[in-house]
Amino acid sequence: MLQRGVAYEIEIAGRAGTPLAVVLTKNSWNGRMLSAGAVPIGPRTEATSPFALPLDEDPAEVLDPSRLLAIPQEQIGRPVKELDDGSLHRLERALAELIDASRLLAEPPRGTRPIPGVIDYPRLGEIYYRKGHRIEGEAKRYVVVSHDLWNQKNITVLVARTTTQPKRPTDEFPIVQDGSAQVVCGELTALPASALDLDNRPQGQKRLGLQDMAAVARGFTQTHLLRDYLNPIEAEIGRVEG
Amino acid sequence: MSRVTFTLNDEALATSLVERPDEFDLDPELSQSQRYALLVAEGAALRRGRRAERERQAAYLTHSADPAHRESVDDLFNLAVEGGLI
Repeated sequence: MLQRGVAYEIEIAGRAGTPLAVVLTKNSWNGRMLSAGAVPIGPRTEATSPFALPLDEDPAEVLDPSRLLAIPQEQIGRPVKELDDGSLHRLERALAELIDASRLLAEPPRGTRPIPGVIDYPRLGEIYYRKGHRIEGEAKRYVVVSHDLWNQKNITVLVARTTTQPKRPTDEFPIVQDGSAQVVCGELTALPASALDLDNRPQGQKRLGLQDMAAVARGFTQTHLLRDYLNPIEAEIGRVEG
Repeated sequence: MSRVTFTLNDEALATSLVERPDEFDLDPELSQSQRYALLVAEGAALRRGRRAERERQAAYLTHSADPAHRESVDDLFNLAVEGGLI
């Protein structure tokens, strides 16, 4: 079973070289799901994100949570090295910042003011289809979970898939839209914003409200073990067991 | 406290927590061993909850084997590769 906090080789057909990515989803998720959430390790020279974290043992390389991917487990190869706990914790904090966890998980949850200017980018909480993409006639829906200051200025966004098939447990699959859908938090992934269909939005509810987004953020704390936002004992179990 | 009811992991967990009573709102009057017992018990209860969750998720495993879901996961990853995210 894939271990949280370990960097694995990622096997990509036709690619020269084998990139590494650090698994961030918890071990119990990795043990039963098709994909694992992992953050690629890349050269610092190519990193433009303020969320990129230099690796302690090699500052020439960075971990960038804005590039977190849901990687099919079949493409995850051999383990190479284990991230130290301090770096793993910093990665969790950077991801939490990117999904606006401190606002969404406040009591009560706090939203942000709209950013002035032209809205030509997918915004936090909005629901989209993939552009020109259907599988067996079904168009999957994705909710944008990265915050708008990021979304406005960058060509990638973080999204998570929604599903109408009932799932348990609901802390990892939070219920949204008045009970009509759930969000698959463990499949949080970065996508080019251009892959989302901005013109052909789902009918009906096109954006999740503040309470729904708070539930989604809580879901990420569970699936990706964002320890600063967990019960301290639960966080310690996460640290010890992944 | 009966140690035989706890796993080694529970004990390791409590050992790492017992020195930090302020984080858990524990009564400062409690002795070290009482804190330890409380933390072990709470850790064990949380772990039981996690196990139950995993069992409930068995149904989702079946769904995960669904070819459409698999294709969706693969497709999103390929898109990320094409987009230079990895």
